[in-house]
Amino acid sequence: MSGRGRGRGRGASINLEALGLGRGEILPTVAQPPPLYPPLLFKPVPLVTTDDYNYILNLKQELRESFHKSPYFIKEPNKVKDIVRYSDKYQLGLNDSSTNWMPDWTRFPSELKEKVKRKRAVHFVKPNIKKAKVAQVEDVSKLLEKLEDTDAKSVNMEEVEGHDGDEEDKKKEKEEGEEEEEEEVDDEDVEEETDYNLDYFDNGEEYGDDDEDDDEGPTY
Amino acid sequence: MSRVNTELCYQIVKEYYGEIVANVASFLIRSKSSSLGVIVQRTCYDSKQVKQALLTLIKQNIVTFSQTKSGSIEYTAKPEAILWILRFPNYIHCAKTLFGDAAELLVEELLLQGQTDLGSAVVKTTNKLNESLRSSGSNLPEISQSLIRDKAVLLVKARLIRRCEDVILGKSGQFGVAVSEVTEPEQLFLLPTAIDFETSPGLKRPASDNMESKAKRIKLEAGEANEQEENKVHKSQGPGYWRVNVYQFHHHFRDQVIIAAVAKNIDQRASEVMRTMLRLSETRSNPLSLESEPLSFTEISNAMPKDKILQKNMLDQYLKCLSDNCYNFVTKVGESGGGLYQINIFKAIKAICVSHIETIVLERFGSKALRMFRVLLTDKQVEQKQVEERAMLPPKEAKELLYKMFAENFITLTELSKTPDHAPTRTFYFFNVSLIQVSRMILERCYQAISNMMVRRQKCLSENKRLLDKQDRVEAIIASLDAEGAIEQKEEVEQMVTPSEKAQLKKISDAAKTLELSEIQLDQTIFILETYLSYTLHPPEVKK
Repeated sequence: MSGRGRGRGRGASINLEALGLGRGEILPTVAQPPPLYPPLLFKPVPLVTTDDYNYILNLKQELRESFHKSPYFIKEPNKVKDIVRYSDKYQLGLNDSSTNWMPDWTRFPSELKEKVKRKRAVHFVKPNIKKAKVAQVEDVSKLLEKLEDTDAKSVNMEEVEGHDGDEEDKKKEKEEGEEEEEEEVDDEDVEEETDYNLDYFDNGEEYGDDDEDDDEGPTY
Repeated sequence: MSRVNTELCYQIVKEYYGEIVANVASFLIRSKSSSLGVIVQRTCYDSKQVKQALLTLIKQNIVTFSQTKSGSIEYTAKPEAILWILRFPNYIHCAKTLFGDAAELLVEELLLQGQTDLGSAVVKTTNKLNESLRSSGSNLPEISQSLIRDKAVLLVKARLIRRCEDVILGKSGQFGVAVSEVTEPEQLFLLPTAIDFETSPGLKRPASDNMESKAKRIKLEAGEANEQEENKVHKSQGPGYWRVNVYQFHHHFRDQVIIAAVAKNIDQRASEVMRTMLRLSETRSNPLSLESEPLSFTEISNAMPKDKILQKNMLDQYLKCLSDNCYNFVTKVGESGGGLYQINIFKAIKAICVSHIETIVLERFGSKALRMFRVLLTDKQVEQKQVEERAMLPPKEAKELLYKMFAENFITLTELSKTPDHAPTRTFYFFNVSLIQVSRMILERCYQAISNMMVRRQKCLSENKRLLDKQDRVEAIIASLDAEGAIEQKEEVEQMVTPSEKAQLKKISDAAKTLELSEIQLDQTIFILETYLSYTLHPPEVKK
């Protein structure tokens, strides 16, 4: 308790008069935060309006307009408000302002250059417009028989198919090769899209659609 | 960089270059410098957008880049360059008053493009001028490009525009890796040659030139030691890039402010004397020095403009007046040549800055407070009792105002204790004004105010977006109808904007105008404070 003795009268040691407060004056109590918009005691003086200032003002407004029109003003691509529409991809004029500015690359680092996408050769997938064959009653019974056969001789079938299967594999390899080339072309697209939505699960619905797979070689 | 400052930079860039660029710029300001990968990661934009934003920022002289030791490229923002955007209209206006309309358009084009070759700037300016001539319907002959070229050369001579810093090329010779440091300031002001007026660099260059540069590139790879020199040779072949030299404009503004101050303090003739002296010293002395080179009486007398020529004894009196009154803007340093006079640029700027601060004190706290503020300014360290006495104010009122100023950081307090225990009874309390600190505080508030005004203006415009869009559409229709000459329909369309809407539109445009005008005028206060601070913070080297 040694501190007590010295601490006594600490409050009194601050002479209020030295701080400029008279004996009778009471310090105002602050019970609430200051108002958000305190009343202005002094009104600001009006702005100077000379011809020069008006001219500069017009210049400023014009300059801002021309900056907005210039290719250096980068607009934010429109945010998708509700749903992703198919047509969004084809909306023109989102960033067309940026296209008419060709930087002189000797003055900019190479990493800022957007890699130009090679235009991908479009392979039109031919729609299958063959009419579905009307199954005849005999065919159905034959097919059933055939299926029974395949079930029974599944082991044998594989051996028989061996030769044809090789050919098919080669075909597939070729196709895959082509696909890989395509993939290289639009690497970035693939990067952005994950394969979450792709469905690898085969629910068996396509089983037996032999008629549509005519091109893929004979079926047994 | 304070938070307020960063916020203002963000607002400015957003207004002039869009939100994406603003976010990239404000990230760069906060992080000092960083690489592309980090920027992409932190700003949450596509890499494509970030790249575009960086291209814009580099082209507009806001961002520079350099190569680190590991070979990656670092981008650094220059926040002061963003604040200069506020002054763009002033630069254009200044060019107009100095060199006429052609110079005005040239400077405007250069400001718009950031960096550009003179050739295309000249072509664009000529087209614009001719277009306005045609639309005004005057019969004046078309303006030729050579005339504008002469104007451009004039601007370079006046140092209002300058060459951009060279960009050091990478090994492939096709891309830049870093902006080179300027070692010879004179090189930036080399007069443009014929090659500088070639249009569109790189595109129309003859094939032989390309071959040459290819050969050079091979050479480059062979001898890396003199890579830089070779690069310079390579660069000087094509038309160079040019930009506006803001420092020269600031220099001019500073002189203008000093002249205006003299005109207000003494009279118009004295300001003419000052103008002549400043013009004479402009070419001779270092623009950053505190005083100008000494000028002799005869020199000043001969250089006075012919229509405002003064009698010798009149001029002598004016010079005396300038050196006696007026805060020592001018001092007499010698007797040779009829008297040697020197302009005290720093003293002048300081006096102007002080008077600005005094005005602010007057408007914020009233004339009684200003009286005390002046007492503190002249007497440096003053006790509270003395302040009351010297400002001749009753103690109670003085106390209130003094503490109010103290609370708002306009004045500072120094404690001087007689004993080591700092007991209040045995301590002197001195009030004083630290000019640098007050200037900085006011500067910060100015930044805040401008940023607030920009936000307010944008809010005002976005709230009434529908109405403004409607007005735009109606105006477009009216313009097209005017072209067709359909007067009846025009009236009908005009009535689509109802009177109440018209009133509202007028209100909006008035509000926006007032806000913008105050931005311009606030920027002048900012300019004076910045100039004063730049003199105090970076005292220029004393010439030996």
